[in-house]
Amino acid sequence: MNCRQCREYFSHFIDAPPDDDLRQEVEVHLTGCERCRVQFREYHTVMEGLESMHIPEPSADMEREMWRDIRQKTRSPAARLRSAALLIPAGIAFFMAGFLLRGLIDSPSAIREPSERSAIQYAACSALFHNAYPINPNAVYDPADESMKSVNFVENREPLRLPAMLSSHGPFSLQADTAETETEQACIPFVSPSGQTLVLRVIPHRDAAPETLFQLSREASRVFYHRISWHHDGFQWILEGRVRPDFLFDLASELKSGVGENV
Amino acid sequence: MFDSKRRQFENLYRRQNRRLHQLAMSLTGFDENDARDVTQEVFIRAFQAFDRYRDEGTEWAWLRSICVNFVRERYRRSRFFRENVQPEIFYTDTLRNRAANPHEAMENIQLTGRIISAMKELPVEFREVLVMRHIYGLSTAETGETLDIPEGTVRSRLKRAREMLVKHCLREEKLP
Repeated sequence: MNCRQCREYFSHFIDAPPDDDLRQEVEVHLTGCERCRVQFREYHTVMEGLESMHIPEPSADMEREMWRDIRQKTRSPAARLRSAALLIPAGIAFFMAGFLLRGLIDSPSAIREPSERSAIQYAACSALFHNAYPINPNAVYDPADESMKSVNFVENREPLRLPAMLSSHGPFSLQADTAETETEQACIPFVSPSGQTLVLRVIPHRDAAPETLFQLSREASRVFYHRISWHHDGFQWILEGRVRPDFLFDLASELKSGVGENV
Repeated sequence: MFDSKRRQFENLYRRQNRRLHQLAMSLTGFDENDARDVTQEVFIRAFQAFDRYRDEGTEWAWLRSICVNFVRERYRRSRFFRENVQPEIFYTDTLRNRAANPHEAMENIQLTGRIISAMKELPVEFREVLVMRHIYGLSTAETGETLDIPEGTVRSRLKRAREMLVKHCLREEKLP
């Protein structure tokens, strides 16, 4: 068996029982051929990667939402007639709300600034990068929401590889030297209770203008995955959302190629 | 009558929705939005056919078969995935925990990303055999039964699917 034939039978090797003749031939070739062995190892690593995929279950919210939609679409004919009667006033209300909101959406304050977008992207990525370590000595369990949170690296002053722009630009910063600002500005990643979702919190300056918050929302929709929400913890506004995976992978490549600098 | 059917159906949903959503996730190339649509549609179809369904012991096989057929129908109609949809992020905890250092962990995460992106690009007939064989751990014969295709077809599709997956993930260079 030559190398080309051996590679042709990688797939067969995986599926065939140990006593299969062809499989044994492949095995013999692999034993004596370093090049094919390396190739098979790579091939096998990808299959292992696929087998190790942990597929998340739907969240309790999603389960409820899906059931609500299914129930809606499988209602009895009588129930459909009843709800049709409600559609007319609802339609009028929707039309009026759209008319009133149009001015706000077209507002010039919604213009995006690329530098802000980049700042948020880097913040998201860097936060993810830190969370991606298999052992994070700073990770703590927060009984309040039953999640693992990686400690706000602003407070810990860990050496981070982030673009310098973050320290001076954007509606928030990850660099903080004084106790006064430490608690105000943060970018906190944490893993959801199911352990499957990376959520990022961005806490802008307390005195951020409404326009800034609006811009943050817009930019977050590009960086975060979905379910973006604002909430107020009694002290400051917090923007929270799931993080899009492509930024994690981009960041990983970027960090490996040495882009960025310590702050 | 309708209420009784609804109650039984709701119980079926509670028993199987998570499992079905996971299957939909893998068959749609780990796209949470698509998986949600598929899960809903499968349950709607199941509801419509619920009167004809009697054997509770085979409910998973029944739902799985509706799901496989619906995904085929959906992705054959539109060959490629919607580009504007981002997949749910999830870690291969096993790979991550196996890593000896942060660098290796990051490599594993990158591999996961490549696998997700490769799975999204595969035609549905290749993706489904990979899912059944590698994610659900079925044998080639069981995969054939589940997907209702001959075992020989499973093997040939698996071979091509694996090659495409590896090529995408490792940007493999061919031997001279």
